[in-house]
Amino acid sequence: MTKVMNSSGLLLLVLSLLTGCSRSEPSAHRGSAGGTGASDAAYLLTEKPAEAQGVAAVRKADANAEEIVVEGRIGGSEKPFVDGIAAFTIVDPSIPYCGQHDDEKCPTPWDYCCNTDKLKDNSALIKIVGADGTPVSKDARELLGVKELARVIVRGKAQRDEQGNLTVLVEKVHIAKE
Amino acid sequence: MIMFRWRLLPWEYGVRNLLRRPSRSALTLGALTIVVLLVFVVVGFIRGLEKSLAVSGDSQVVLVYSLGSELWCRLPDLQQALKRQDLSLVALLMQPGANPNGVVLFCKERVNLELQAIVETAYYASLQKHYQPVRMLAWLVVCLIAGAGVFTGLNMMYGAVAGRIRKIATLQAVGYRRRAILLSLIQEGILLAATASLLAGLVAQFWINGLAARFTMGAFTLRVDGMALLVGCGIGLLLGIVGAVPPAIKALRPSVAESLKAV
Repeated sequence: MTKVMNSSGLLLLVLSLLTGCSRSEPSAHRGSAGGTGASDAAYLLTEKPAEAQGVAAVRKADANAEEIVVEGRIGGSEKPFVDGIAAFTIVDPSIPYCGQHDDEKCPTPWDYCCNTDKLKDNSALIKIVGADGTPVSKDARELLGVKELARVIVRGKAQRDEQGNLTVLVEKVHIAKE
Repeated sequence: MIMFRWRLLPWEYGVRNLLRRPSRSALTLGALTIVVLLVFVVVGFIRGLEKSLAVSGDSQVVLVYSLGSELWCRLPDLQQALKRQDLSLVALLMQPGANPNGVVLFCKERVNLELQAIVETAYYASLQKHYQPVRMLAWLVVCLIAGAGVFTGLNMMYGAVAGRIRKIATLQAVGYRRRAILLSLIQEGILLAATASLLAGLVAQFWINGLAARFTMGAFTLRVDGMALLVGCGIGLLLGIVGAVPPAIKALRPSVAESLKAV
């Protein structure tokens, strides 16, 4: 009887340890504007800038160094953020990301792999710069508390090259709630 | 003092038993050698793959290549198919202190070029992660092979003790304890398994070590290093012990009187 109780107790202990250890990691299927935690309020814009345009419309303009307001969703590649620098790419909100309108379970929907042909004309690089114009040396995820697919609206100076690539230098970012 | 004295069977008894049935012992030795050799081959494959995918590279080297899915194939064939002679990957060695992320930023600025940049160490880390399922599968194969080896050992030892029940009972009758006989039977199993491990180890060292294996990403060599030898020989010895214990216990369970009457 004692032997049976000891064996059962040991079995229960092993089962409880196995159950406790087998925790699944939280799924990172979709980013959210909710963010990853603490952010630096100095780079966040609480009020939504007016007259925001999509990336595609802004790219069509010609003028350089003009002040623009552009709206987009963080994404455009598997790693839209640049490590160690406050910069990220955004995509025009009119372009659907993978699984936005269907049940496709894409592990990295922010890479827009289902619409890669549209990325070239609907993407822009956002650089968060300091007062001296140089990019802030901190990851944008920590700086703003955002993740992939977060919808952002920025006001800043546009830089366009001869091939039409758009870079926007901003000092603050507004994170749109969805 | 006499009560605590542990009288063991002579070492030569186990050796003599093995030599008394040379063909059975040779067949079992051959089977165990093949099992351990297979373990060496698979572990050598794993070690070779791990070395080729080791997180290496220079943290100051940035690889710049085209966006989109990767294609692994022979370079001349691809160049001929696409009618292009230029190469599409550039490895940049940054100056000391330079930030590799500056290259990443450049690639993101030039969306039209469709480039992506990755630090070399991160590239090899991602490769290693990608081949993790292959390594897990290979270890599973090692376990399956070891399992097969256990059954081989069991089969041999069951056969070895089946015809010796009366002899074992006689040994008990003259005063040898059950544990001494058990140890002698395990000794036989370990002796065979150790010999098999040595033979397999020699073959692995001289014929398997350094053998090239073609893989999706190129080729690498099988490595029968210290770890492979440890795993292979360890499994070999384990086969000897695990293969001998159940038949030995079965042979020792009946009483002496009952065993002496066995045919």
